[in-house]
Amino acid sequence: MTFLIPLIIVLPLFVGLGIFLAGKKGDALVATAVGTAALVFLFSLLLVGQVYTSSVPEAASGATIQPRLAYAPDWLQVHLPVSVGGHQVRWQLEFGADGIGALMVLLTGIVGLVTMSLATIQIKERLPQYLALMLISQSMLLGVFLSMDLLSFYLFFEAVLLPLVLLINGWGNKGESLNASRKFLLYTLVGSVPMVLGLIGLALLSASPDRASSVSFETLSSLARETQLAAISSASTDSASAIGALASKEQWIVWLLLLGFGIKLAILPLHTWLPTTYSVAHPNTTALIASVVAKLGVFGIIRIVVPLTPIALSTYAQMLFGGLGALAIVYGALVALSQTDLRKVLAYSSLSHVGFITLGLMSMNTEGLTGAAIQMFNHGIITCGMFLMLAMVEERRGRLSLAEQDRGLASVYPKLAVLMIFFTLAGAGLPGLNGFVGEVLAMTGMLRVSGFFTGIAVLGTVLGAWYGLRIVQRLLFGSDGVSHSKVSVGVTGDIQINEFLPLVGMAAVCLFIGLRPQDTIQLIEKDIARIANVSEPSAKAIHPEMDGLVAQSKP
Amino acid sequence: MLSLFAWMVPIAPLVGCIACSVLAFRGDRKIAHLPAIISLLFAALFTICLIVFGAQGESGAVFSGYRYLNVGSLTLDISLKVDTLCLTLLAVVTCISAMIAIYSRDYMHDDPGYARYFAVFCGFVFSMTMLVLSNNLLMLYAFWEGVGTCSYLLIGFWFRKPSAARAATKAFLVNRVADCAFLMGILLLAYGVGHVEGAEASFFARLNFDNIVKAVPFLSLEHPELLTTIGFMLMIGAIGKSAQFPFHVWLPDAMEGPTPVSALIHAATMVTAGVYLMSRLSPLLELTPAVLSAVGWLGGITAFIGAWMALYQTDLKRVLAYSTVSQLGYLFMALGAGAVSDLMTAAVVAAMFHLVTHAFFKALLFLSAGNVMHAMGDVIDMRRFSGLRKVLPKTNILFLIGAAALAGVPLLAGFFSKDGILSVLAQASKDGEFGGQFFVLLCIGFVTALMTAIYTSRAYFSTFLGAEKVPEEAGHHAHEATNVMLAPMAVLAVGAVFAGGLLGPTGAISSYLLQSFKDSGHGEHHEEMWVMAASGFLALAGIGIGYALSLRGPSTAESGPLVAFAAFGRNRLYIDWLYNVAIVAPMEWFANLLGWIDENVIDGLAMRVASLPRLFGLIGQRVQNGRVPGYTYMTAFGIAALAVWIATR
Repeated sequence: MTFLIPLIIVLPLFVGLGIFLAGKKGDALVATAVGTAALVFLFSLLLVGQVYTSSVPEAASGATIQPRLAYAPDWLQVHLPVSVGGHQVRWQLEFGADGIGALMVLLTGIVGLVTMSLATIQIKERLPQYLALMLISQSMLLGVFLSMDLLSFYLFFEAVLLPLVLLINGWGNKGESLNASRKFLLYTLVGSVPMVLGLIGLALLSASPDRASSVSFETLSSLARETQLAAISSASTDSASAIGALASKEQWIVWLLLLGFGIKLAILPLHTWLPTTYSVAHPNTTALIASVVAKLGVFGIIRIVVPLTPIALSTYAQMLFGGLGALAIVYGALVALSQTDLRKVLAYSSLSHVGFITLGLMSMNTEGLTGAAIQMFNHGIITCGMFLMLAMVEERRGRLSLAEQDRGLASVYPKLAVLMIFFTLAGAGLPGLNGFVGEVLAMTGMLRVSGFFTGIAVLGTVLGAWYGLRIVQRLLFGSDGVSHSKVSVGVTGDIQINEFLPLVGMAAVCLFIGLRPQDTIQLIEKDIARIANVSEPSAKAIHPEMDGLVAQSKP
Repeated sequence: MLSLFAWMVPIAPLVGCIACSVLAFRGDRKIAHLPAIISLLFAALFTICLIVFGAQGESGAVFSGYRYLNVGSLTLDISLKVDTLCLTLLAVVTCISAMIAIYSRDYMHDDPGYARYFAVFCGFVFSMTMLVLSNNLLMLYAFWEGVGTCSYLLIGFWFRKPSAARAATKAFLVNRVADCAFLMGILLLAYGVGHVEGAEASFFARLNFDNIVKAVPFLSLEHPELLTTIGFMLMIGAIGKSAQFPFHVWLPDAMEGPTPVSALIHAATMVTAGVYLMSRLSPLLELTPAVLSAVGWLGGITAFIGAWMALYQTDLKRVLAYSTVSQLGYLFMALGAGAVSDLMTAAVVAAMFHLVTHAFFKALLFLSAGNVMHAMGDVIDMRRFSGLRKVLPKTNILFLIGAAALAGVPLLAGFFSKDGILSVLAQASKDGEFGGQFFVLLCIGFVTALMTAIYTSRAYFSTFLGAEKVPEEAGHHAHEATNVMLAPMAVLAVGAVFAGGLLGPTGAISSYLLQSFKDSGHGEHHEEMWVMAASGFLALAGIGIGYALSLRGPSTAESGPLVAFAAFGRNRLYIDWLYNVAIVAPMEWFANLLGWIDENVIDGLAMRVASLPRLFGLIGQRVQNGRVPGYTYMTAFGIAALAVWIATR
């Protein structure tokens, strides 16, 4: 079933381009586009099923990143007319799915289908083109999650910007959208230049007199594992110099990569593209950006930085980014509390939730990494639902200011209100829904690294509930909902069945993961375990004081 | 078989919840009470089966469900732990909820949210039974939040009322503040338990109660200060849910919900979850006397200020709400006595006993208040009605029973259980280390008992005795409640009369609960006759004072030194005001400040930086002259530089 991998990337791309080429005739292709999204969703399910059931034995190389479903044909070999260290540079482009990638593919499939099917209702102009761009972005995103080498990772990572900028620009708020898309582009480009340097550095580091440079994640990660573990074990015999040498050698790569990925995940203080973009783009577009595109940075860290350069990462950046993540939780929640524009409230809440993912990543142990990976998926689903519901509210009432209390929409739109309360509670980390699982795992992981950061993160759960319930109270409760004038564009009733079903589907996913997280975690646990096998000793070697209780009770 | 029974207890209300939700979505309202009442009766039946068949075995049985999480060092199962402590509370929860569901059938009859009401009601019972049956602390936390959410949805049941919406938000947030400390405590405990000597780091369900109990002695030897921190964190969670000072502010506002909900959630069951948590973790708390001492103080403060505020309320439901706060304070005072060595089990028994009796009579009182409210056209201000004994003859008797039990009239339920708490406190006051504290708390207990009798009797006398006065909202047909409403109240009244005498002096409840604490056998009831006599005397005296006060009307201005006392009591001791001024407003101000900084400073700075390239661009314009050779040179130079860089590495 390896053909799934090229198929799932190429299919939406070709259909999207086809709609564009069809020009005026493309207007009839709306159903085709949505059908393609449905197919992609189906393929993503199949892919997850394949990865879930695959019985590929662990590779002998002990590589940290091992695809369980691989696609690396010969025609994807790139021969560069350059030789490094006496070897001709021959890069094999690879695609493949491991558990983490498959989970993100599933997220992309779900979000793509839901946003596009709702776009047929929510997008009023140039719908075929909108769908085409959405399909192209989806294809690029899938490419990032399925690429198994630095080169294709980078290509897809950058390529996704183009359709997104067009989406923000073409369907966002008139007047503001040009500025916002420019800001988005500028920020991400500023990030991508250091990132590409970092990626080149990684490829170059892999070259040695007896080995050609490589871009394959599998090769790179098995190499990285050897060098890191060798440095750690040598440190226990002679001195910490081996670790220090390795750390300083790779330090610059880590900073460059983290700058690139950090901007994508909107780490403080490089986050200001996020509220602008989210408040300007159409909420339907934002649903895709917030749920999947904003995860690219996190995905990059868990795919590249943590497994390939754990020692250099834990030297300085672990604590810095861990602290920034904890800060982002509280900061995002507080700023969300101060906003009156609903879009911006959700934007800053997204910032706050991504803080939990960063926190989990920077704990660098099994619990934290699992929490981060599962939270990537969970937050994607929750935030997608929230933005889609926002689109529904705006369609009926126009852009509402939260400064006004007691709008009482729940009496007018009861079904929408139920779903909104559901997703708000999921976002606030209510146990039994999916948000809780990732948060608690991330905090468990971080507690082993820093009790202080964990304490801050725990405080964030209060603030998260505060702004969430503030939305519910001001928007949904407090009156019978008819006294306020309608600014609607034709839709006044409660949500229809075709708006209701996609959201119920996502709510079911929230509930399932919240109730039986282990089923989902099984998909990623082997991959996480391999990463943690490298990253946990590395962090421990750099910060021996970590896990203080163990050190005390077991001298 | 027993496993099936145990699982059916939570599953029955869950099925009811799902059925009612379906009805709510279909807009089918007429029959929504049926699945709810039937499922809750089944839950009660299965609970009784568990008790009769002794499902707890020797020292608690565990019925496994499924693996929830198994990540790294964290292993969590969804499984049920059944022991006598849990069964005691489970019986209270299921029986009283079934009674209140029956009562609700007529009370909520004309409400447009009829099905929604029963759906959330069943959801609450499901969460509460799971909370009580939890086998590990994180599962308990999960359902702890679950009951909180159901409480949120039910307080805000009439969401069109702004006050209800605000009260719901307030309740959830105040609880959440406490719960975040609780969660931190759980995380720290999981971390600590995993690291005691002998515990394998992984594959170890470190949050299971049995494992916690096994590990805490080691933890207290190796890391006593960590254990104390954990104890404080868990205590904060408990006092949040149980509305203890300083978290008590949400409970009186929670009266915005329908009255049966106030009876079930905010008087009988959910608010006692904190007491249950403390009892469940008593082996841990026993090792942290500092925490228990704090619990005792907070309980004492709450008991006193709750009674104080109850004295000056004119809203009948709020009197009962503050009374609940005050009585919960009693429970925590009793638990605090565990700080004295060897008294922990006795303290838990006393607290659980009062919990059981309180559930009966307070639910009864709330339902009676519901009847009054129903008949008076939703007017609940005691100044606007009086002399209802003719209008509501049966409610009159039921309220009287409940009020007498709450006031502690000898031989009724409240008398015995309150006496139990006071005698534990009396015993604790003989201790060397904490004796002084518990002597003070004992005095608070007596004073509060007197105050309780005063406000309860005054509420009764001014509502049911005196000249008949009915507000105009009631219309001309102020009528007695239906029999469907009165029947479950009668059951509760039987409990309010006999539960104390049957369970307390006979030693039934203490010997039953002791099965869960077989290690320490110091739970026997030391009767202190003088305590019993004093509390009986105080109850009767209080009723006399209450009668005298009721003759002056429920809100006559006080004179002399009592003016300030009354002003404080009427204004909730200004605590809510203080929170708004000192916490909420500064937080919102700070949030706005951050929002401003984010928009103007951080984003402004970034945009300033972004405009820098334009300066470079001015320079670059000279180079970008559009001539191909120039570009070629530059490209060549760049490649050469890259090659040099690569070669030199």
